[in-house]
Amino acid sequence: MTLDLGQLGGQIRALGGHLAGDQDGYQERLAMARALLAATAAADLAAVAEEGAAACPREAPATRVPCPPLPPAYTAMAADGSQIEPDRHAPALWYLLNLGAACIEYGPRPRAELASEPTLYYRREDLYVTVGNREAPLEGNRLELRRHVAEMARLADLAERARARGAPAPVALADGQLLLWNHRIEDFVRDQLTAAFQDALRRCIAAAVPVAGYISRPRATDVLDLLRRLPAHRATCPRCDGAAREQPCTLGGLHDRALFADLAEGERSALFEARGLAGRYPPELRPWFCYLNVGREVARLEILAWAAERADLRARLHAVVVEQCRLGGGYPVVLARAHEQAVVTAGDRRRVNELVRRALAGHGLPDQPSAKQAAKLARAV
Amino acid sequence: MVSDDAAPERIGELIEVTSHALVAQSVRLHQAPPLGSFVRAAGPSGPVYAVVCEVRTTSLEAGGRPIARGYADVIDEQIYQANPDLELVLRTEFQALCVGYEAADGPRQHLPPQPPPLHYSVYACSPAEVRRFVARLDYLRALLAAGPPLADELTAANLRQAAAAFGAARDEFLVRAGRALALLLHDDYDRLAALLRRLRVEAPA
Repeated sequence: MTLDLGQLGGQIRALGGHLAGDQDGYQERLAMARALLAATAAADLAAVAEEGAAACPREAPATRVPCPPLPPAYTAMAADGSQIEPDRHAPALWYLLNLGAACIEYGPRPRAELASEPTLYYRREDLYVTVGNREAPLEGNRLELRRHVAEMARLADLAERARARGAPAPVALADGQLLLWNHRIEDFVRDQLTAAFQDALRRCIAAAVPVAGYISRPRATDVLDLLRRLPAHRATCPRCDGAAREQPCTLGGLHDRALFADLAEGERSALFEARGLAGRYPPELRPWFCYLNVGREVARLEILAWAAERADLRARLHAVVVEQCRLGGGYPVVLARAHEQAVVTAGDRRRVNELVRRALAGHGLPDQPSAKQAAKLARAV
Repeated sequence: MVSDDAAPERIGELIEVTSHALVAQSVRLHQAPPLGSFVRAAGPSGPVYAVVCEVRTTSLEAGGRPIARGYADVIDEQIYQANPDLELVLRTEFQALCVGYEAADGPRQHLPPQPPPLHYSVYACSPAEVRRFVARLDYLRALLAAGPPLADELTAANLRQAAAAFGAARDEFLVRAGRALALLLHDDYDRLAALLRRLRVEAPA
């Protein structure tokens, strides 16, 4: 039975109506948050950040930095990946990572390289993270992190090659956060993957290539969470001053990207240092972040502290990301190209499954899926 | 005669084959063989000859849609300079109608028993190959039947291309081609006259 769209019509119209309405004084609350940010000194924000906040300002909170000039020649690099998850119903246990890479040089000597690299993992040491006597299968969230590590290692390869051939003004972009983050994952798994992730970041630093993670339509609330800790907010919010705990916080339900939606095109916000999980990273490998109006949206850019602290490198990243978004119609073109290289379609999945099945049959091994999967495939009536 | 010294150049790779038509991806973006020119597809059972009937440049990704990228002074070739990745995400492909194949005893001017395999190479025919193939002009009937209005454009383009392979003997070939067309189109004077004008040959009185 397919989805009954007829039954959904009324609910979809209701959804549209709900979003069109001003939800709980959204605009007014947003204006309040902006006024609070503009009126707060960096030292006051930094003081509340020390109480366990997820971010700490590195510049005056109201800072607005216009887009710096673009280097006359620059090199944009990106890596992205996708996976075929292990399937416990399949005749054999394996997974696939497909890493896409793009390196595009702009300027008087334009050139581009796109590549994809699929790898099949099926050995026991590939399928499980093992530390001492603890073991966890690489699937779901763990595999997502494993892929993120592989992407960063690929990016480090690109950075080293760019360095070796003297590519002009290199910049490396990753898709998403510059941190291995997921709460639903065991510490021993994350620690092992984090070590590999940090090795890759260190290779980028050694190659003198600034790295940033680009997040389209970010849902983070790190800066708003900081504002909610301010005494000036706590004194006026009925929930946060404890007078009416059942009421929502006046700054609840907002996102940082809305807070910074008043940035002019090409402008970035102040830089903040990520805390929380990032606090476990050595200082030079911690992400700093800012929000950036790239034309079509306000994106979040997470910059490796090593690069964020250097005025020339952070200006290069800022200018290159804005230009890349202009070329890419709102999203960095180099990331889009890496993504295109990484995509694994449903058809690809079927073909790999079939090839694996044939390889098993060729060795006289059982090549049948589980009874459940067989029933789904047959769709008998 | 036009020089035949040059080694055959691999210009494309077959990405779609049927009994009567081939589609090849150009080795280089925007460098397809001219409309109407002869190409040769390699195959295990001998070369297949075809006439280029359509050239198109599209996104390499299925469903990818090219968008306008020019601004200010960045137009035409500068767009490619400013977007070096474009060369890798666009492709030029050309379609060619099969007009014959190489049999043990020489070229045949009818459809090959099998199309060449996918992913095999496509070469531009050398002037010598063209002269050898057009020693007979039976294939013109297939071109003229390709369907109006493209058929006549294609036939004229093909004969102009073939004539170029004859160098100084160009006019001699065109007269022979004109006679062949007159036989094929004896019941349609207007069409014949329009076709011959495209060859820049006077229509017979």
